Amino acid sequence: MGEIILSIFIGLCLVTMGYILIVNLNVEQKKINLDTEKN
Amino acid sequence: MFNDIDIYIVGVFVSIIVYMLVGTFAGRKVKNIEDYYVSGRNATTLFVTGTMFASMLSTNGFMGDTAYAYCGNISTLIIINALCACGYILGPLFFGRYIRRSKVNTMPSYFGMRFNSQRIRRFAGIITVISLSAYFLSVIQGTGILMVTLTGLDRGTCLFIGWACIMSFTFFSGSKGVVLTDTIMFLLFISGTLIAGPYIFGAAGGLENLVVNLANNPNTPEGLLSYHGNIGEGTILNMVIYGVTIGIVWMITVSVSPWQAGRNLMAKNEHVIFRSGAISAFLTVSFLFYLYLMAISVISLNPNMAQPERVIIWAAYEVMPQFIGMLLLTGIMAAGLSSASTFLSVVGFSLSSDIFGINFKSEQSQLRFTQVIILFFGTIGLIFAYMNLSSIRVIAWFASTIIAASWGYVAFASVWSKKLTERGAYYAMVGGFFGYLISKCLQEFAEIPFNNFCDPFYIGFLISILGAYLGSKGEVRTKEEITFYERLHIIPESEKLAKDYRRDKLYGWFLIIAGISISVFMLKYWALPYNEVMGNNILSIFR
Repeated sequence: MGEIILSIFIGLCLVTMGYILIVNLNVEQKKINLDTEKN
Repeated sequence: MFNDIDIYIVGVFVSIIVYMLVGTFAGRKVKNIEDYYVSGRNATTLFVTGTMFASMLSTNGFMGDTAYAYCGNISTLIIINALCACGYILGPLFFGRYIRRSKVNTMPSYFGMRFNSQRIRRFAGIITVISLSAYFLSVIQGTGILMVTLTGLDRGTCLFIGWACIMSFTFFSGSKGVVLTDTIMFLLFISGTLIAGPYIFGAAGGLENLVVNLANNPNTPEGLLSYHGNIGEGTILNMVIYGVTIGIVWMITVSVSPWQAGRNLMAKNEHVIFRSGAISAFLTVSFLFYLYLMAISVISLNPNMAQPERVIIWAAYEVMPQFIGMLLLTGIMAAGLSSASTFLSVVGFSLSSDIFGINFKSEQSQLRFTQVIILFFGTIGLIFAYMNLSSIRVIAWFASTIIAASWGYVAFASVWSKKLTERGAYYAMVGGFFGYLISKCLQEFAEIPFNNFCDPFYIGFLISILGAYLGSKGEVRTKEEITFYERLHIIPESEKLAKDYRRDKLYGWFLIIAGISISVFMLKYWALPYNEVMGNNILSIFR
């Protein structure tokens, strides 16, 4: 069972990092758009 | 026609001549101190990835880690690498992009400017020199040993050739040469390994049969295929916690260390930092996994090697055509040379720019002084490597862990904390440094059992956080600190293009797809067949 958990964990690390990257960039882009609209 | 030895000698010398020529060519483009220290801040995604990954992977990775995998600990290594890969995303997002924005030339100078403090800059410089000197020595020795194997020349001559090679381009062209040669070396060892792999897998009965073959092989080390690996005299819990601890150390190291995060100072823009981080994260998990699979495949061909650190070297000589073997071995040597040149340049820059604190009359005089320091430090390194003092191994304890323990917290807090003051940052660095150093010495010399979650790294890291809290208590940040902090959070206009964000997000999606693919591959070719061989019908629980 440990081998299955480890297999999922390894992939999950990359999936989570990809997700964190996308979410952060989306938030930042929204902020930039809001600032542009304000100006 | 070349005989067995000649082709390897030709490979070594041709590659060294190419690196020296490329380095000299790059040296002609060095016009000012920014070119020399941070390659003119115009490196593209390929070059930042190349230098970052080539600096991370050295002869230690190709020889030490493959030996560890061969002896039964591949699962521990993949835990370490998966956590390390996270640092390539978290680092750029929450630290790397900000140091680039501050337009500094070295990491210690970032800390110095952020906290408006010469003592912090100097102490960070000392940590950099101690940490990277350890790596430099270890890598130059490893490269020398490999070159002896490849050429048959004596150890002293090989050390000198390796030293002359890295010195030539680091001395003349600084980071411009290092980035260019690192990238060439990166492409060489990646392609050499990828091409060589199928020959080893084929000879061992095919990658698809690897798990079943190893499970049925009496020579397979104990625990090799299980999730915890070969536990030796210890326990399963100890082994898993060891993997997680070293993984966290490396995650912080690649996020904030001068030879990894410091590469971000050379990036053309912040988007390059995200993209090269994503590629490095992918390579850390997938490429290294591929390399370890090569190492464990050798168990079927040559079990119980007396010197397991030679597992890939043995395969290069015995399992594949000579030309492919030569490509693989020159690639491993390139991995060593690239790391050594990065460590040499970073130490040289820190010594001349951060520790001595000299006010130079002009950029030219600073550049010449830095070159003298690089030559001096490199020569001392060569002498120590030649003397091969066993006591030198002690400094290898300080390599990556001391950076993670002493400035891991300060680095992230310097960008995100509104409470951390100069005194707090200084106490945190000093506390982390000595907290780790003293507890490590107690563990090694007094045999105090600092194990699992009491590992010296955790002790140093916690003391660092405590130092930051106590040092900042009752203080407020100075006007200079607040101004610098606020400037860090202003996104430059040139970074706001929507098309750049769209491209960055594709790299995020690439990581998601890669992660799912790797899990499916591991489940299909390792976890399920292994459990089946062991008589655990895992699939039955889903029925």
